[in-house]
Amino acid sequence: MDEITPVRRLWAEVPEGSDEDLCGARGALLAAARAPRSRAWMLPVSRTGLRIALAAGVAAALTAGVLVAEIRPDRFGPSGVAGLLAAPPANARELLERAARTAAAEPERRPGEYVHLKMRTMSYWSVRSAGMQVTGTEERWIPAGGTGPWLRRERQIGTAPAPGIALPSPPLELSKEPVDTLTDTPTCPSADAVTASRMATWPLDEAWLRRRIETEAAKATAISEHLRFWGAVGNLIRDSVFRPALTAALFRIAAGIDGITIVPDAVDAAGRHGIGVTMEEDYARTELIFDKSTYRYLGDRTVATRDRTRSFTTRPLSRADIDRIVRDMVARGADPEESRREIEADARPRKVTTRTPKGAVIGSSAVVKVGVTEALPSLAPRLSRVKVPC
Amino acid sequence: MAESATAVDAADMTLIQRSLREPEIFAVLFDRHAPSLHRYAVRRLGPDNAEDVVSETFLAAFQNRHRYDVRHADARPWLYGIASNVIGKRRRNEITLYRAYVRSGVHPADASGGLVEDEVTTLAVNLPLAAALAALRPCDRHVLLLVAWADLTYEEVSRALGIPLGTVRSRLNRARRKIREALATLEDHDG
Repeated sequence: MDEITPVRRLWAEVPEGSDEDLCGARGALLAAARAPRSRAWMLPVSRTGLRIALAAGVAAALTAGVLVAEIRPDRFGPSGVAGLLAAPPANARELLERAARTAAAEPERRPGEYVHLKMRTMSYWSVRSAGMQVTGTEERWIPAGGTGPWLRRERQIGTAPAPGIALPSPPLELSKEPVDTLTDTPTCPSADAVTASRMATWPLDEAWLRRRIETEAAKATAISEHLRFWGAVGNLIRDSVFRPALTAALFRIAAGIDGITIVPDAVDAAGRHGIGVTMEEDYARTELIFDKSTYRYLGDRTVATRDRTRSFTTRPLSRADIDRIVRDMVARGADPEESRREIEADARPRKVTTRTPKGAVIGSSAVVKVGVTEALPSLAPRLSRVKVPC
Repeated sequence: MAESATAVDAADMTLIQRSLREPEIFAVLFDRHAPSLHRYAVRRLGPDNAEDVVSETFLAAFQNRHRYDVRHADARPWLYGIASNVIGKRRRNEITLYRAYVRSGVHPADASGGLVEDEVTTLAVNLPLAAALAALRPCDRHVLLLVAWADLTYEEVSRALGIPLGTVRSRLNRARRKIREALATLEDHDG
């Protein structure tokens, strides 16, 4: 016979505590919550406005966390940097600081080498009244010394339904062949554009980086002002993975942002579970995702937190645009006259409505491999060259 | 509380995190878990001590909320772990309660008074059970009652008490053996 069952039944008729039973305890709790914070254990942290606890025991625990989170800098690869599991980070700030230590311990690449990154990606496409998730891969070859062009190679792999919205019918065709983009190093030092090769030579000075992030943030006029800095840091973090020392510096800066919180379980584009840092936005939530034990950066994810329907008017297509699209269609075997008629009908400005359902993954990436190569690979037939204007 | 409106659906972990900046949010956690914690405390210590246990548990939880392990969305194991410490300090009251029940057949939370026939049969099981509970080692009793009364899984008990899973299993086995022995005696008498 099972011994637990009679124990379970013993005094099982005792009801849950009623409001009356609990009002004293609730009152005591609220009194404690409303009491002025005792300086002995709460200390405001400047700039962030966040409060972290500094009870003697906690301070000791945090220090211990720092010590055991130290990692061996000679390990680097897809399985992550070796590290011991410390007490979990108490807040988003601490998580980012640990992530910064992990990134800082990774080796710097030598000039002359190309850092080769492999990523999984996911994005959301709105197609008329339908929508879908598109998964893909992205590879980057970036010169570690910052001289010479860098290459991005994208491939779409497949589609998946997004929650609460029909798949487009007929289904959209994906470009499963690799598409390469080769970006030249800007020749003029004043060029403002953020490119990978530029980032290879950025100073790691915090004040300098902060100004640089603010410049980027100021460009994001489409989003609420208080989210711009967070958004800009996130973009730079994604693009700095090839240079861990820079990523580490960006993590430290991100750690000081007001309003960031921990997501205990976040999933990157490769389906790996990690611990995330996020900030609530108006319609979406962007998470930076880290390995739960080593705090190595895994990737990021932006998820729609509310249904959103947006309408806008398309920009009219220029004659050159129409010619180019028709040429492409004809190259794929379409009838020239029919194509032109179709495209010219589409060329006029018209109202387009996009729908992004709650839960859709608007964008996500996962760094699955970081390696080194001696040179760029041979380029794919579908290649665009990007010259950064001065 | 105005903030409760947006907090009622949030995971425990989220509430605890938010309470670092908005301490009153912790009351949402109280409203969520205090009723069942109260019931657990009544079963272990009787109604007179239960409110104190709930109060002490939540005050301790509130003051240590920055140490909460953010990997866990559900705070129940954490709260019951704290409650186990609070109850452990009142071990004598607990033993007294079980023994009083063994003598009288009336649990102090039972307001109904007289016994119906069904309950007489129940008593035949419950009296030796209560005697066995009183005789358990305190650490074995915590494990057994967190499983039987708080419905925690073995992993959750391990988290609640900060002991390895293997220790949870061995303590529970020992407790089960004692219960089995107590109930076997009963069957012998019946036979």
